[in-house]
Amino acid sequence: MPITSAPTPGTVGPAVHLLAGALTRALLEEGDGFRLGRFLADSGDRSAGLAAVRVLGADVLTPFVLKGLPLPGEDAALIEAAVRVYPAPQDQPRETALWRVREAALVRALAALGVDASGWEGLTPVRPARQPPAPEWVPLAVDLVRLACAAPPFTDATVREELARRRLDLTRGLVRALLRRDALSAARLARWLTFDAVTARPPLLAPALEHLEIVGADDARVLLETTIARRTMTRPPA
Amino acid sequence: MSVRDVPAFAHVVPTAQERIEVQALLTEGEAPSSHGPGSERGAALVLLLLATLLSADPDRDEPVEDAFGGVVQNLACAALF
Amino acid sequence: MGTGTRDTMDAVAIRLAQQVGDRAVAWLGSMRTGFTLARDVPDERIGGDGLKSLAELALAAGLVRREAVAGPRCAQTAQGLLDFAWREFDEGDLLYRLQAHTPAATHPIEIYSLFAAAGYRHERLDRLAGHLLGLRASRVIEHVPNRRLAVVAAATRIGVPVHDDVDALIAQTWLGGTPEPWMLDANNAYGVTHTVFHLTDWGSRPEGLPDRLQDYLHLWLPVWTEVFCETRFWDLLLEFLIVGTCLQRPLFFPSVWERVAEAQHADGMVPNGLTVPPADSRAAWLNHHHPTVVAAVAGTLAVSRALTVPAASAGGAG
Repeated sequence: MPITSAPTPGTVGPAVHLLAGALTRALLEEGDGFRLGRFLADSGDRSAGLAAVRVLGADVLTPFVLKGLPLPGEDAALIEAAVRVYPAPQDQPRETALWRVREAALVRALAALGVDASGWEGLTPVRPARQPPAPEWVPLAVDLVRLACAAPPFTDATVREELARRRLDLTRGLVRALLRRDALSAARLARWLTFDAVTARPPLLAPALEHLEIVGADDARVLLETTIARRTMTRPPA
Repeated sequence: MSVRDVPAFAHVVPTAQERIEVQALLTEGEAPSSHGPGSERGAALVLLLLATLLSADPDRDEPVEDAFGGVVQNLACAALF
Repeated sequence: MGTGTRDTMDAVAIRLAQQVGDRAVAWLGSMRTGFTLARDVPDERIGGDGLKSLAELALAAGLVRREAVAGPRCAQTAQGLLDFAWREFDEGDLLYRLQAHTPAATHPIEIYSLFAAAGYRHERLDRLAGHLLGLRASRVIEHVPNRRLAVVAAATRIGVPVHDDVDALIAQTWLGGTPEPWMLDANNAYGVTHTVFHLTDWGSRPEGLPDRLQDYLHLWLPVWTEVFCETRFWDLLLEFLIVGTCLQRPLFFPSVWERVAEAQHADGMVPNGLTVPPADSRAAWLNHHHPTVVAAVAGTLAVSRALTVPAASAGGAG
């Protein structure tokens, strides 16, 4: 059953899965032992390792953000290197909006950890132009799946306000993804649904997460999303 | 690894293939097609279900020995309707 | 995809639903010999699937007549099919004989109720039905839960008092349990559609469906419709379209009607969406008459509800 997302053939897909697994373990374990630098040193293939950092975007910061730990300087430097080595494309207008939202989440997460990334080489230069969310529930869910690394805990107040009006649409997206046996999309939408989980937890979120943790157990990226969702839900309100 | 090793990463030159992969993975959306109920894979299960119902009418393959009369129809209709 | 882009039935969408329904009825009319019961065998050897197909033909024809929104040609075809089906059942005699032979069976009464609703009565079967449905045995039939509701609905149509605790029966159905909506599979989906059909008498009594189930369907029917539209499972999708018309605030899914209209063959047959129909329509009848019957019902009820429900009270799909 195709319940897992297949890595893209090549070296980057496997590196992303390895890094997702390492981040998940870091989120589940007690303590402050996770170092991005150690992971990259152990993984051997430098360019694939940096590519994985770029692909996972702000998610590489979740062990620090969600556990309230300081970001080591060398880890910040490695993220800066990943951004420089894999710069945002300048010539693909269709994808520009996606990159901008991702970069904004990364910059915001770094700022929360005391790192000013505003002048980094390779970032999309322009601040994201605010685009209203798609009015229909299917396109909204499709968009949010692609923007997962801007999902909680990296969601700003404006987006949370918008999502608060779209709870049903988000849940419909989650249900649709589960019915399509698209576990990664479902996990990403479940994570989006934690945007105000401390005050209003949708009743279907808990059984959906449990379902995904079991059927998605072979896919490190699914588990990373569900683990981030769980930690976001149990984090005390800011 | 220490801070001194970071420059080794800063000067990595990715291959064209790696750049393409990053772009593809980073912009990846939902699964392009459904594997759920009604899809090609889901259909196999439904056909199995239909086959189970059809097997309530064994006359297709073998003669009925229904001494009571109507048992086969009774069971078939109880399941089919 | 994009089943939620429009949610009200405008004139174009109504015309499309009418066209699908009309063409489906025309195909059923041209293929009616496929519904003929095998008469070279004793009554009890008539196949269950043959009885079911003919009953469904009568249902569709009866609903075209009940709703009275079809054009004259379609209405005439439907009337002809209803008369044909009644004749095939020996004007009720066959159903009576089957019921008398196996009194604990319910399908003869269920089939008869479709005709009774259209005024085709059989006095002896009425008496037998009243007797059987009053027995303790009728309340402990080992049916799947939604089928128990079919028997209750049949009793109501015939005019026999119902002694079942309908709320308790509803609670045993999949829909009555308001489950996690991703747990729907094809089998339970047909259970959901039939629970709604029976509780609302095919849309004539939307209030027969408890409010909590109306609310549940307003939440999740748009998702299920979207998923089954993407996978082109026309048979079930059309049943979902009927469910939408049976709600107090109906859901119409006009963009799904566009997809259904595209899928309908030029001769009016609607493929089931699971198996590829053979070119020969007589051979295609076996596996594709059911979705075509459902299309006739769905088209009829969509047009009828869209014409009678004020736009303001129709529910949105998104």
